[in-house]
Amino acid sequence: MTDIGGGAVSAGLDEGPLIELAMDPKAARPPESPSPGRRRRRMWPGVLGAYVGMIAAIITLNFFLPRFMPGDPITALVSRGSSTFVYGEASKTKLKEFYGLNGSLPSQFGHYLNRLAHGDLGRSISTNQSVVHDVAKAIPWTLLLITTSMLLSAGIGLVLGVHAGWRRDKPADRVLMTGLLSAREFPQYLLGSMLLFFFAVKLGWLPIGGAETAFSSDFSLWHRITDIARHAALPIIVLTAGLTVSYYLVMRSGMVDELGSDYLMLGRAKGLRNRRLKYRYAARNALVPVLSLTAVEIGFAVTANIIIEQVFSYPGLGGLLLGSVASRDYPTMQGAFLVLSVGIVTVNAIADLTYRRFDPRATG
Amino acid sequence: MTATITEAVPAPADPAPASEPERTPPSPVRALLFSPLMVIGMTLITILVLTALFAPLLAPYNPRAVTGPPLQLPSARHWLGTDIPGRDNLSQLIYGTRTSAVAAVVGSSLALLFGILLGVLPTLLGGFTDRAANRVAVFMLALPMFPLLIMIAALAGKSDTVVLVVVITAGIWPNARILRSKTLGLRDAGFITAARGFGGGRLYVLRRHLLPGMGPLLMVRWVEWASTAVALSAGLAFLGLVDPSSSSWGLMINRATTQQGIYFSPMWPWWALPPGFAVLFTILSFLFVGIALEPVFNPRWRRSA
Amino acid sequence: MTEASTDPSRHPLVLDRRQFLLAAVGGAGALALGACSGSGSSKGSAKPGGGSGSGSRPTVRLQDGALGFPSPFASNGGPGYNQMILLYDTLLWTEDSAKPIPWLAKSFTVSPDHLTYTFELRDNVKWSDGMPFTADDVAFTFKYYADQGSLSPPVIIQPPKGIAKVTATAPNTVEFVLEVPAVTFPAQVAGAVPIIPKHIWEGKKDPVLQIDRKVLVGTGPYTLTAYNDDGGALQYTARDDYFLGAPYVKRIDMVALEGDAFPALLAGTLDVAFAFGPRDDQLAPLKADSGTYGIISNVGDFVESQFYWNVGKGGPLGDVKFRQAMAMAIDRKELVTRLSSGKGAVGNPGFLGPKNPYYTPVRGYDFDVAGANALLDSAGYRMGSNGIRQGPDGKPLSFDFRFDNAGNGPPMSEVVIPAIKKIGIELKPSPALIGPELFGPKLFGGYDMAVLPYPGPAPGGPNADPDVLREVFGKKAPDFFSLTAASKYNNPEFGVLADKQLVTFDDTERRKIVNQMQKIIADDIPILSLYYAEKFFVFRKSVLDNWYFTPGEFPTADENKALFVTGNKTGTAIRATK
Repeated sequence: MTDIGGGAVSAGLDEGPLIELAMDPKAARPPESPSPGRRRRRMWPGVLGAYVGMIAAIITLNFFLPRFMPGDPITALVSRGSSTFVYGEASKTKLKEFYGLNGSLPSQFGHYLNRLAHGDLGRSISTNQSVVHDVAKAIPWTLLLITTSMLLSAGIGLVLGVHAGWRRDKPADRVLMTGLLSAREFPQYLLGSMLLFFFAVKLGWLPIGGAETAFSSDFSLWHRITDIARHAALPIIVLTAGLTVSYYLVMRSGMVDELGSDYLMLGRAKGLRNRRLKYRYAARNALVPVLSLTAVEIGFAVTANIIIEQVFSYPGLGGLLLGSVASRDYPTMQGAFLVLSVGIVTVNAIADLTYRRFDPRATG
Repeated sequence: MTATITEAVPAPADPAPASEPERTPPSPVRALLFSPLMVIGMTLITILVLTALFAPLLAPYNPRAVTGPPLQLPSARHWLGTDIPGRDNLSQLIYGTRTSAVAAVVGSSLALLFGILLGVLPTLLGGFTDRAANRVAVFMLALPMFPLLIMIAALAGKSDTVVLVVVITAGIWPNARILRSKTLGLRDAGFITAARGFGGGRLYVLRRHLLPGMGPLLMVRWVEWASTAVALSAGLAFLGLVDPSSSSWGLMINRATTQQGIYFSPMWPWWALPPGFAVLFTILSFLFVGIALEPVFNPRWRRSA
Repeated sequence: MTEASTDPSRHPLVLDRRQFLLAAVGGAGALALGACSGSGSSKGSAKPGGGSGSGSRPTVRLQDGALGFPSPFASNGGPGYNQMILLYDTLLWTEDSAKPIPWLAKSFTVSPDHLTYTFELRDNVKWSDGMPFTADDVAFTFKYYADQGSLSPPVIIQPPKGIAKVTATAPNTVEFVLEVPAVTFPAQVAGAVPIIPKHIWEGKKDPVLQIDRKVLVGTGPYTLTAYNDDGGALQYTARDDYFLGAPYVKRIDMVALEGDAFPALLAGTLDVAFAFGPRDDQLAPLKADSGTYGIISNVGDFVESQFYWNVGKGGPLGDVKFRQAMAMAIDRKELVTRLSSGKGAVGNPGFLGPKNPYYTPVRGYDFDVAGANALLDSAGYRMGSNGIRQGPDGKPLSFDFRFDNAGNGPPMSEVVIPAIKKIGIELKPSPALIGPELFGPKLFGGYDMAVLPYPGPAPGGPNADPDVLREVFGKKAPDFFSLTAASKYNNPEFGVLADKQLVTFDDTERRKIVNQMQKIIADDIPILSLYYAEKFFVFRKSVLDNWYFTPGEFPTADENKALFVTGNKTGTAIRATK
């Protein structure tokens, strides 16, 4: 849906104008630095420093945000969902203690950090489980959707991009690009609910929501895998539709660049066959910016995934976050946010480092 | 491949190496007018704006008034049927354009304005101010914005103002980053230094040299962010994070899709799809204009596309 | 033994702030002590059904995901109680007849002063881990609850109040001594408190945090064989050594389901589905196949929404005529049509639901705009030039109006606000989250009027024991009814009656008092029930066909444990399977 936030840590990319990105593969690349030698030495500490800074900032934000917003977490706790709730000063005090909301702000912060250091995210109000537990259950589902979609869209985008770049400036190229760009802008709730209507309701081929059939642990392994795949199919289609275009664009413009390069000219002059040139030479080099695209796309994927999980009642992190927002389950809300944020920033940092390692140009 | 697009290459630590100034395309206006995408985009935007302006004249009913039986299929009285308490869906759709138009116009303009304040001014001042502003922007960009926006919207209470503020907040940082790069590019192009040398004040430089030099970029950014702002505000409305007594497309979809068993009701397509496609077409209209503007201001695009 | 309390009727249970109180359970019509003081129906060990594993005993698949951990301390309010009580038992139980029937207790006697209850327990009861169940466990249970004065959140446990002493006088005899007599004791204490095993819980601190499945040892008819703790599926398997005989339903699967359950029922993944005020297009395919699906419905036990005035704020809000005029200006029939697919009934201004055994007709506040206007005129609220009336002090009648910003809240406000505007009163909409904004302390002084969704039986629900009137509107309203307590509604005449009905053991006499109380509430209307949504409960006949709505406060009122155990609507005998 929206291209906002979740860019790379140290590169600080703007991932907004996809078109620009597409036109210039270098846009997805970390900034050049003065000398190769200096860069190599500074790379790890630089990225790691930025990463640690980000994590610290997220942790701090996660602590202060609810405290500075209107609405008192405790009020929400003592009073969830019923006109019959316990309210008294004694229970309020006890709740404050339990949720670490007593004492001064600095001491609360210390308490919060201490608990965090012990891997304690508090206890969910709605499930009475530790938040860590609930989050851990949600993570695999979100990962399933996001990684599958990213791989799929990278594959589709790359193939389409290679072809389009090879035979650029054809009308088909333009149409394909406009179509793919539009697909990214297609609101996930619209595409999702339309697919839901046709495939789950009208045709009855796929389940209407959730991640697996209840008690599927009774199933055979194969049955279970198909069951999970059937549930994940529609969410993945929607997410892939949005992700494909950026891979396509980067690959396409990378190809355009490579096609003009000397060695391709040479190759052509030597009479190498088109197919070989296309894939062995041009595509391989054009692949490099694709790596860093992952960092750029993770923000989009998470954003879209939150909406998708809502549409398909998928029990991932997005669903957890929205559910806890709806029920004012502060500990879960904060836990889900923390894990999502740290996850995105971590993926970015890893992509950043990997990219610098593999792209000869980035280091030289 | 030497034609580096400066606005897309962020250079946090040190200014980007000297980049060539924009080549002025032969006839941007001509190129614009004849781009089919521009025509489609501008037509849709015109429809959107006119609908928003004349909503009271166009809408058959007050969008919030209960004017028919609940959940009625389309009829001569209610072209798109009615929703749950019995309000006219068409009227809500028409009034919903206002919410989207405000998100696009106000959201994008303010995001751009603050982007200029945080991206251009500190860069002109240089030194610590520049580094600090840049750090903040880098940090904000790296934050997972959407989860954060959900948290803020949820915690700050559901109101349309909150959503608007949230949309603007999200837009400031990419704008600031890009405008900073552009400023650096223009600064290094030398003529600003020259102007300063001749005694031009900073504001003078900003007004007379920088902003005109950035005009095309600002325009593209505005259009692009308008598209994102519409998508973002509709997305938050779909998640139910807006004032439920407002009229917006996202909220219509939210109401429709949270209705029990709505997919099995014949009313579903009439209730949920029109606002959904309205969101889509609005986003696309801005996107098309953005794409159409691109070749005019961006030599590289013209070359490759 | 128990800490002193002046409120003997106070639910002795876990007061979970989530959704409904655990204390919501118990029988509404449970006052007739005589009816169950005999040991009439201890048809205990009836013949087992089809025998274990024969396949003829059904598996029932229900539409609820796990609602908290199903222990008495960690289950999630009313619906969670249903899931928990399959593993545990109470001394008495309520089924179709609405009268407490013997369950763990064979019989009980009550002293003439209504202060001492003696329960005789069944002999052949075993905990699910094989240990014998004794009177010690019962005594321990109540002591344990009482000791939890300082339990950890998130579930807050209120020690049972009003019980002076619980003693095991013999291996199978327990004696309860109350501090003050309370007509509600059998239903709301004996019929609601799950008995826990001493050998498991003794010495255990923080019962709320005990969420290891090992602690789930109960006398109940089922054991938990699968548990998906993130709100997912639950699976219960019958204990064939259950003291009432092998339960009729062999296995119960509870499946987490998002959204509409009817399609899942049609698709065969559920055996039971329900909805409040469903649309005709939702019901049509089920009605069309009446050979497969049975449908029962119930209206009046589930209040959809209540209108609150902050009476304590004074001014017009404190003026009975003002509130009465507003009540007349809201077309509650229209709310049913628009918000509940026309399936439901208008709310009773006397607070109790029309199905409540103690319901008495009171003034109805039929829709009458002219009447409402006339009433306001006579009360001195003059119409201003802008269509907004002014109070005697010249202030315009413009008020802050809170409503839930999810579910039916927004559409309801679209109907209510214009309706009130017609009598010259302006409501400024202020959508809010149910939790913090509607119930939070900020609201206590702050709100003028509010509409709150109220989804069904709970203390305070329309089908509860009429003692609920005292709890909601009484002078010393317990602190958990904060909204009413906050509104500071106080009618001394009502207060006297409220205290009196609690110790009135003659049913005819009590009925008179309760009728009087309802009339007072209807006249004063500090709260107006707007409408009741009709609950449609659809089931697959081939699996289980005896479903019924339990009268009284039973949490979800249609998935009664007694049905699963016996297969019957009434009586504890086990139904033979084919």
